Amino acid sequence: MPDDLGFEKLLQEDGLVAGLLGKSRKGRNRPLLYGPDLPVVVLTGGPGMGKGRLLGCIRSIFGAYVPVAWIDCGAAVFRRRAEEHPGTRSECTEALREIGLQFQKWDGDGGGIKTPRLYAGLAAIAASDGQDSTGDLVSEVRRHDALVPKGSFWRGVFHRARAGYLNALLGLVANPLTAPVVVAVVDELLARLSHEGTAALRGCYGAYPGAAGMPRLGLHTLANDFQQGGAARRTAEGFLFRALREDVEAAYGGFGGLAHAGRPALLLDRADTALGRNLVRPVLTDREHGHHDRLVVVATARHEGGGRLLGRERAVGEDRPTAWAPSDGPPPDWRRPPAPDPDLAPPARGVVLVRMPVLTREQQQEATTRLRVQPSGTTAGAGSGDPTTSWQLVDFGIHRLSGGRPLFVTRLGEATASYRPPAGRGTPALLDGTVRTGDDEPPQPVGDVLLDELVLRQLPEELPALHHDQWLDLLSHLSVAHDVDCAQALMLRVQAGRAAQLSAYRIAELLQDSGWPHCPRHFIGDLGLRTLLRQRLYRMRPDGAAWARNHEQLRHHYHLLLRDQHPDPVFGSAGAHRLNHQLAHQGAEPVVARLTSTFATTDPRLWCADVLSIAQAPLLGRDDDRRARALGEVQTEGGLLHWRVDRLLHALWLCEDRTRPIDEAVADALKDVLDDLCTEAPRAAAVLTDTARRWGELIENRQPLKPCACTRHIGRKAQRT
Amino acid sequence: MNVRNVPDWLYRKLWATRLKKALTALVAVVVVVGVVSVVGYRVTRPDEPDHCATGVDRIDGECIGVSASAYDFGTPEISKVTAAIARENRRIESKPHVTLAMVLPLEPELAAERGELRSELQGAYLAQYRVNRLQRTPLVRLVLANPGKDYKKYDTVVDTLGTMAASRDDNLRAVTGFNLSLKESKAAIGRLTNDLHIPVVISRASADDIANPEKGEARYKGLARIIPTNQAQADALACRAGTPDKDTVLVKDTRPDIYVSSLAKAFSCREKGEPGPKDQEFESPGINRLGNTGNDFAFIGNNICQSSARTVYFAGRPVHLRLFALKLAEAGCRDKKYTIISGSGSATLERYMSEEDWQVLRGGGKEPAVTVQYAAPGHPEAWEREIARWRDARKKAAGKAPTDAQLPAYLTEPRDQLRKLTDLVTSGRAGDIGPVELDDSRTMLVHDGVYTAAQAVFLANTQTGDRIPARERVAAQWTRLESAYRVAGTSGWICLTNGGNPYDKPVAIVELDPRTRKLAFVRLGWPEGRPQPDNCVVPSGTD
Repeated sequence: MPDDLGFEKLLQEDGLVAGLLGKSRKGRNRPLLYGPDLPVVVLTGGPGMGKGRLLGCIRSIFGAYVPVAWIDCGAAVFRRRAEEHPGTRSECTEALREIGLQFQKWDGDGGGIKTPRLYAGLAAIAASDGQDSTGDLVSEVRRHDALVPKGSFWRGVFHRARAGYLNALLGLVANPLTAPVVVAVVDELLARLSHEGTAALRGCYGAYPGAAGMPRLGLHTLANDFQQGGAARRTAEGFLFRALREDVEAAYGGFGGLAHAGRPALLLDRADTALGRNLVRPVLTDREHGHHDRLVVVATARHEGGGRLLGRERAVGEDRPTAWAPSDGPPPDWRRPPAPDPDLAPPARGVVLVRMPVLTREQQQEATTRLRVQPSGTTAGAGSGDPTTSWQLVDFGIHRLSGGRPLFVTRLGEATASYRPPAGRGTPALLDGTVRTGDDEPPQPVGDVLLDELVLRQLPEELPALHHDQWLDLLSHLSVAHDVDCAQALMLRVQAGRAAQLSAYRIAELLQDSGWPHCPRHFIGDLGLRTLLRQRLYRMRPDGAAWARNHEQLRHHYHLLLRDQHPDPVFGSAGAHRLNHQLAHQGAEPVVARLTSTFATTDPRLWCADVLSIAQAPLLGRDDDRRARALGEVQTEGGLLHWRVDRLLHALWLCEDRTRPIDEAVADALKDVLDDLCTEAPRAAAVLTDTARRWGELIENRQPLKPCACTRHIGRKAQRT
Repeated sequence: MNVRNVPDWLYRKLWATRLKKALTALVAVVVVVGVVSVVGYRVTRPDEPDHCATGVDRIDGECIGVSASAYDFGTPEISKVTAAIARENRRIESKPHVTLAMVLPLEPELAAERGELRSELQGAYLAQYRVNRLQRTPLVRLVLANPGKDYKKYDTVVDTLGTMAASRDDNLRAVTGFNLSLKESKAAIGRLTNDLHIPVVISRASADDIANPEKGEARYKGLARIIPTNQAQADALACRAGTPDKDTVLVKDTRPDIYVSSLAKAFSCREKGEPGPKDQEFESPGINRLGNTGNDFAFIGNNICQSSARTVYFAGRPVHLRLFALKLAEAGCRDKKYTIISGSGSATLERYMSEEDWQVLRGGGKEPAVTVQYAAPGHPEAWEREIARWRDARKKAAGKAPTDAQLPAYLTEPRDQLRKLTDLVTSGRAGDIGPVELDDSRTMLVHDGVYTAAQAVFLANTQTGDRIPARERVAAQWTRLESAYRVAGTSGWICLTNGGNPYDKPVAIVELDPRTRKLAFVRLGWPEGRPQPDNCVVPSGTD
């Protein structure tokens, strides 16, 4: 898949990114979007939606024209480095150091961005640990040497005193100090600054809370706050980031403004982690308070509303973040609404949420077709069946399962690249293929790879570590659950005996935080993920024992606890819910028998609704004879009514299997059998005829008979409810 | 890089930031201003920096090159002649033609030299005008080549002439001109003849060096000359004059100069009788520069005054001759009268003389203090005077006047030729070419040179049919120009020896009379001591 597949609208000449950075992807200047007050752009989308890939595109394409720094806030490297010296480092200081270095190394128009302010703050913090020896502290300070700006001949923070300053730092170790190291370092620094450097630090650290315009005091307070930890450390870290942004501003001001064009960018991948929050929040707060800067901050978050990055409680009215998707058209109008008291304004006001686009059918086809092309230029799989039709079926299947989720599309495309489509109408077994995750890796089943990439590698941040090992198992069990009630029932049994248990309610929250969509009728709200988990559940024990056990438990749950007429939020009645699980677990026989017996006694409208609800059951672990039975090719042991109900259930079951294309013959059989049932019960004829017409129209229009959030992407026309 | 990406690449390199925009705009402005000023300068003053006219470039302040147009090389005296040449060139440009080039310095500094230049160009033009109306083919186109002062930049011009000789449009077939005997002109002739195989006719340079020996290998292959060498002129002047040696003295310039040294060599032949005073030497700083020669001449004059010499042979350039004559006259040696005899270059002496100078030469007595005799290569009165003298002598010997038919052809044919020339000039048929003065013989000689070259081309053409004859064919005709194919020039018969030298070409010994300030024709001198043979057959063993 090309790196920018699906991002055309975001990256195009007059797209959002070009407007924010003031540069087109070809390097031409573009009118700047927003400013001088800038929003933080948060890309939202669940796992596999290509957020990191988009940041990579911005970095590789636009990084040639404007300074772009990129960090992965979820990377362990910052935490590991911070833990090496917790007294003088934190994840945040390490990340800012990395960002500063990346800006300094930029070598495009205008050259690298000098970071004297960031350096001063980092040096003060590095020297601030009172417990450490002078030697250790000086080596901590010296660690930031790469950030000390090199002065040019006629201007610079240090002029040519840089070497002198660095030597003086070394001298601190040799001579016994009467004052704390941090005092000596800050004094040395301030003493050797040029006029320009002094002005820069006064402007920056003189504004530190309590510094009263004195940079020396500001730096000491900053170091002190850092040492205090907690909220004070957050303040210090936030201020350090402001210092970096002021460095960027300074680089773009004055003469630098002539040499630079556009705006610099900071890309924060996985910004919904603690580090990301610590970086983004001070930016939002500063900008809310009028500390404007031109650094374009692009963060990613999995929750569609930004999740913990912006606070879970959704703001209302004007305080809501601006949400926008590339398919909405031109970039959104964003303007910070006036706030009487910036301290009270929620930070989300300063955010533009950009929903990551899913791949269109054409883009999916482009991606899968490219994967299929062999080096010799021939198309893989050609030779058996009708290649065009077969590949269309494969593509259609990929579309139904993936819902356009780019990673899903790519992996399924890879898994089916060497697939040989069977002749005729056989449904391609998309999840049977294997893929390699690396050149040296052995081929693995595509389902396992996808679950690894979508779930295991992206564990929810708030998932307690002791549940990390069972997270995927829990989700697999939950793939058979519909609402939270039955999910909770399952969880209680599955986790029985564990000291710490996760409730289904908590799991639902964690799933939402992870960016998985919510579906009122399925606990796992994503069709593709649910299919993968179901398959995994089935394979968890031999002969699908775990799968059968879960269904049996739920069937039993609704049989024991509730009467059949008890209303059910998902299935209409508890009986239908029970029969649904029974259909999935025991097959059609007992269900048909039950339906046949209630046909004459139940309100035909309710009876039809029950049959439809029951027919939503998944088919796993048994031969698929639904088509033959729907067409009446299989004789049943009961009477004619039993045979007709059997046909009806199987026809519905097949029509509602949204992973398959509509079978015209089955659709016709569905109408026929409903008409036939009229003869069995004349009083129900009106309802049955009406139902036959309604379902027939829906099927003709490729609409689901029972609409569901997780299959909304299937079918070409708008859903009717 | 993909061509479609070039605009984006240029944008990023030149226009992406305000600084780049400013620098690009600055550079663009500088380039545009530069181009506009250069173009503007060229448009407003096209000839100034390095271009004088078509084919003529400015090199070190001189206009060097070959011109076929009316360009006068900044010398107003020749404007009318160059215009006339251009007119004639245009007239014949669409007909089969060959090109003859006049190589000589065309930007002389002295007014006298500019006058000489005009005379020479007039001669060339008049010859061109005449040969183009002889009903012979091909026609002759004349181009002017300026090798710079003292021929210093001859290389550029010779290169161009080489190209023209190879060109089928130009068909350069002969080069003439060369009015000075200098090291550079010699080198130029060497390259033209030996390297480029272009025939060269020498009509004005009299140095012995610029001539092929009659025996042995030719120094310049394809060289012809129509003017007697200094040696021949000196022979005609001196050694056969019968003056006793004790009455003669030689004054010679020791500066390396081919003309001067060949003259000195010719004058060095011992006269009969007891020896005269020793040679008097001086060294001049240059052809036209006097330097300290005035002092030298004063001393030399005094020395001669004390000696028995009455005839002074002067081996030097005309500028020095004038000064020497003045100093000798000023020496005032008991009313001694002197005759100074010098080479053909003295023909220009008159042009350097002022009114006061003439006064000095006249002296106070009845006879002029100093008269200058020299061998002019020609004189317009020579033929009429010599015919009259011949008639008198014949009448005296035979007792009756000879008939016109009895007159020798070596006198009548040049006379008739000169008559045609003067007739052309006086009639004005050839257009306005400025005042024509035939006295100094330059017009006549250059006319004869171009005329001779044209005859060689015609002769070669009769052998090649309608095609333009090759250079080598033209050069091969030089030795044919004798006997039946003799050329009757205005300065006498031109019959070329195998070395390309004119056999026994007469010189006009003239005297510059300070009283009349005219060149008085004295007599004809024959280098061989006798007139040319009948029909101008060159005898075998000529050297």
